[in-house]
Amino acid sequence: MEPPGLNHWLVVSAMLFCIGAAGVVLRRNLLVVLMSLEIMLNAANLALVAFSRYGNGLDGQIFVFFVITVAAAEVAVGLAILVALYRLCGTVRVSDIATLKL
Amino acid sequence: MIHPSVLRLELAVVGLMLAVLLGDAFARKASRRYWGAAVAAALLALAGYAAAGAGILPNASARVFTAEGGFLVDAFALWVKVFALVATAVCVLLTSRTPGEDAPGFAEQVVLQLGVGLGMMVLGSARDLISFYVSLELMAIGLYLLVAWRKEDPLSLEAGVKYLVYGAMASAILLYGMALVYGAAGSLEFGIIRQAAATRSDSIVLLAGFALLLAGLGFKVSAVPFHWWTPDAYEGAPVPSMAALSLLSKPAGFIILARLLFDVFWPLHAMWQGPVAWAGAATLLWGGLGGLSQTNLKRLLAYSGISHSGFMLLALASPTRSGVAAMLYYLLAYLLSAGLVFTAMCGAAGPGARYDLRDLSGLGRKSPWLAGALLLGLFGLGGIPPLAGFFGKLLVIRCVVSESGWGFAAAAVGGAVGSLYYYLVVVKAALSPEENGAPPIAPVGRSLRALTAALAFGLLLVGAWPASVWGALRNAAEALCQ
Amino acid sequence: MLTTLIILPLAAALFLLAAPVRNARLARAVAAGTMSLETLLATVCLNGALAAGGGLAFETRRAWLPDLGIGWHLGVGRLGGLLVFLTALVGFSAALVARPTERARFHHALGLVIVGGMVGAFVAQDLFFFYVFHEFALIPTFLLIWIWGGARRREAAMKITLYLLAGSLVLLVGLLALVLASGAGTFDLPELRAHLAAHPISNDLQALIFLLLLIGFGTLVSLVPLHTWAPIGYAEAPPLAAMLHAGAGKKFGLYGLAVVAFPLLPSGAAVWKGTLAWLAAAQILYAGYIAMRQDDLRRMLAWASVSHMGFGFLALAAGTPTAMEGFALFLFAHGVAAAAGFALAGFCRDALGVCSLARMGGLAQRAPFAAAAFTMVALAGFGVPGFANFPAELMIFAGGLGPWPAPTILALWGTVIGAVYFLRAVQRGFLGPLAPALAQAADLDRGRRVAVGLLLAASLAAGFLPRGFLGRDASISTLASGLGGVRSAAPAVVMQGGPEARLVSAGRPNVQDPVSR
Repeated sequence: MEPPGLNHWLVVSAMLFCIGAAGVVLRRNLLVVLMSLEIMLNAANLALVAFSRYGNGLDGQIFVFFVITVAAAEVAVGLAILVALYRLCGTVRVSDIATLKL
Repeated sequence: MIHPSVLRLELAVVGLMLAVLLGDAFARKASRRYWGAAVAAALLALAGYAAAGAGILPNASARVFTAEGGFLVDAFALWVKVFALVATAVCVLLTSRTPGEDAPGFAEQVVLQLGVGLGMMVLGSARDLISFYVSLELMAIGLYLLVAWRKEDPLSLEAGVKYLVYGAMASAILLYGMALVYGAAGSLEFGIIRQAAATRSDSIVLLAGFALLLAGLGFKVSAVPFHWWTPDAYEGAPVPSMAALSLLSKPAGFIILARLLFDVFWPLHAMWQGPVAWAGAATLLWGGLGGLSQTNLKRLLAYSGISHSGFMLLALASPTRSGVAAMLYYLLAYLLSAGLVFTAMCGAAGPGARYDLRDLSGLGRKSPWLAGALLLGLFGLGGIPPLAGFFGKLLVIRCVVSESGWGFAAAAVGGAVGSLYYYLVVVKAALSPEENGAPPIAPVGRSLRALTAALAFGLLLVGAWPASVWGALRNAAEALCQ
Repeated sequence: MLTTLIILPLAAALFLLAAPVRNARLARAVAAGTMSLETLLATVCLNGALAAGGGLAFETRRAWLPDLGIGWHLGVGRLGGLLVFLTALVGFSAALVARPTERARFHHALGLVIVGGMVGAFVAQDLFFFYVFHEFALIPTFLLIWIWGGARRREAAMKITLYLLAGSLVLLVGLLALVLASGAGTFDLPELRAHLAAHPISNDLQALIFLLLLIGFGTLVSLVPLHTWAPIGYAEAPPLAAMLHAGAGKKFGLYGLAVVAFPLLPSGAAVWKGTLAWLAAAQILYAGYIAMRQDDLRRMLAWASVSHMGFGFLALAAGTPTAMEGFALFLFAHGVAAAAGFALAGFCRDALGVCSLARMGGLAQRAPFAAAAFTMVALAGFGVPGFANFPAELMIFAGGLGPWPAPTILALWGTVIGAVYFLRAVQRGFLGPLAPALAQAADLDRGRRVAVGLLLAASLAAGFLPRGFLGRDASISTLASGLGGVRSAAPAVVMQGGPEARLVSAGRPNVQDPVSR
């Protein structure tokens, strides 16, 4: 059995990205939606690291550190808004917070 | 190696942020009355310094790099910094009116706005994928908070959540695109990516990455088909945050879009021109027609913003320097006119107002000058000469007729007429006699008055004498398209 | 000189807005004073244009945005000079006539802005400023109708503004396409003319651009079927707006077609000329028949004004030198007559409170001056000899009969319709037994008398001495030189004596000069 190569990593990362996107679109609980967003970001991270490992130097891995930091900030803000929303409306389900017409 | 002197404008804004935070911790309440004005004055002084070259650029065609080539200052980047500083000053002044300087959280709000402005300044200089991504997120995270700022108001929180989810998804798409571009080009640096785009334009990975980048940015500039979040986010957000969305976030999207299209992916211009033009026409029509049935001023302005995005996309769809110059001029005109409308909105009602159109009734009687500012801003958005909006439209239509063709020109006219109609609807509402239940107007403070006068003057000056800014815009466009 | 002519009303408008003029009479005095000065300057300007012999008088050039080929280039030709004079004259009388019920300062300031914009449009020799100055008038017109208009003012203001804005946008696209397609890289009108004479645009493109310009300008002049804004717009507008727009503003579209579309795009014009001639005839008849059925005096005048615009289009479609001379005179003649008509109709609505012909019989007994003036407007309106409309329409028919015999004959029928509706209005509104609604009516006050008298005097003067307004040599007709129109054989018919012999001889050089050239 041959060892996994760049393409394998990329396929996994693409699958992760799709799973995350599907979660954002389909799931009704905002917490799960936030987690799905994290999966999408990590799919990108995986692709960056894979490209970096297979011949593109270390730049990609440095980029990943930045992404992780930014993602942490994003989640912190997202959770803060969710908490405020839960305090005010008592729910974090998408279907319950549709006052604004889309 | 980083040369701090190249970053002096950004560092000055960081210093300002620290000063506001420290001041908030230590200053007494009475001394806070002119904070907004003081911060805005500092920002405008910086903008003036930047417009004069900021001592960084020896001449208009020079390019100064730092941070290992990740940060570039050229005429284009400098123009972006001037724009960002002015737009941030407008947002800060609006904040000092609603919720007011002595309201809790004023300082934090100002700091976040400064952060958003800082993000745009860095974005204009971004020269590799890391600075691009980090500066874009610096703006986005601040904006999530600003949109959800009124945490006692379910609508504001709901708008914040929606903006956060869609915005983070767009960021993820953008990031995935960056990863693919990095993989195909082998580097994060824009210069090397450009070479890769020139030599390996048949690489599927590169093209897929480019397409994902465009989709993610399409969200930032609310281009069809990534526009649906806009009316909701605008309606829920408080007015100053709405101003930050449309005067900082959207222009930043266009700035980086111009950098990508005209610099990094320029070798592929035959490939992107068509899709950008189609997206522009669709956006324009959507914004022009979707606003027709709106009864809320904020939603209506969101559609107006979508329609303006369409115009700027059409400008970018003409792969020439005049396309970039037209886009930059259009952005400036949009800043001045929309800023005027937001200012009038802040004066016309208190912080919690919903801004339904019938709430505006009687404004012409209650405050002719506020109504005048609103009208001037709306006519500026609509493009009535001699206001700047007109010359912007003229430049864009000129590009469209010469590069994109008649169908797109027809779309531009159709969209423009649609949006003119709903601007007139707003004018109608503001000039009609007062109905029961219209909120009382808030007393207009001195700083807001000065802001109104300055924006109105700028709108007239830039419109009646475009030569006053044309040189700077042309230099910026030439610096970008090398 | 020309810059002053533009700045003067705009500066006066600013002054009115800024100065603490509380008194309505004082505001009117400021506006009328400015406009009388403007009229004096415009007279000088017209004289200069007439003396310039077909060229431009009082030319001014300044760089403005050389990168895009836009420059501040003013100059006044004969047609422009005549229209500037018309604008100033109408502006002066409109300022005298305006009696806003509230916010008089603002009212007069808006009127002055319109005048400044119109004058600018007529003297601009750069397509950019030509367009921009025209747009100056849009928003003030909107506000004038919205704030001081009649019962349906909101609807009228929205409609007129949207139509005019949409038309202007189409026009903008057309003008930009013209400039870009020419390859001259300039918006300067004389330079474009010279460039396009040497390097014409391809025929298909000319036809397309001409169509855009025709739609754009046509909307502004209420070319059927783009006219629906005009009746309600004029009917609801306060006298100031109606007079300025019907008298002067609307002429911009015809002026633009004559100086931009036809000379710069000759083969495009050739494609659409036939359509335009038939549309013109249809417009004259259709709007005329509708005018016949109107009960409201202002609506009647509005439809009459729409109908009359057909003569202008007919003249342009014909393009013969005679027709173009008639065209120039017609613009002036219609302008003063329409302004006087709307001044009187505005008097009926504002001072008497009735505008319905059915309810205002016998006004002549209470207001003899108004009745006499309206009768003169009516006579001018259907082209009775003595008024400027007569030689103008005569020349248009004479010039149009050659290239477009059938539409011209239909248009001739239009003057008969005109006689019907105008005389009907005179008879119903001003003659007969006194209507009860008018028992207490007073006649025109002094300001209105001066205004209406001045306009009618101008019409008579131009009717008896058209040369004084058009100039000795037929240089206006040189505008038509690129049109390739068939030279009319009709003048011979016109020459045959009869009771109008004196007038015809006054019109004679128009016909002869280009032939003898």
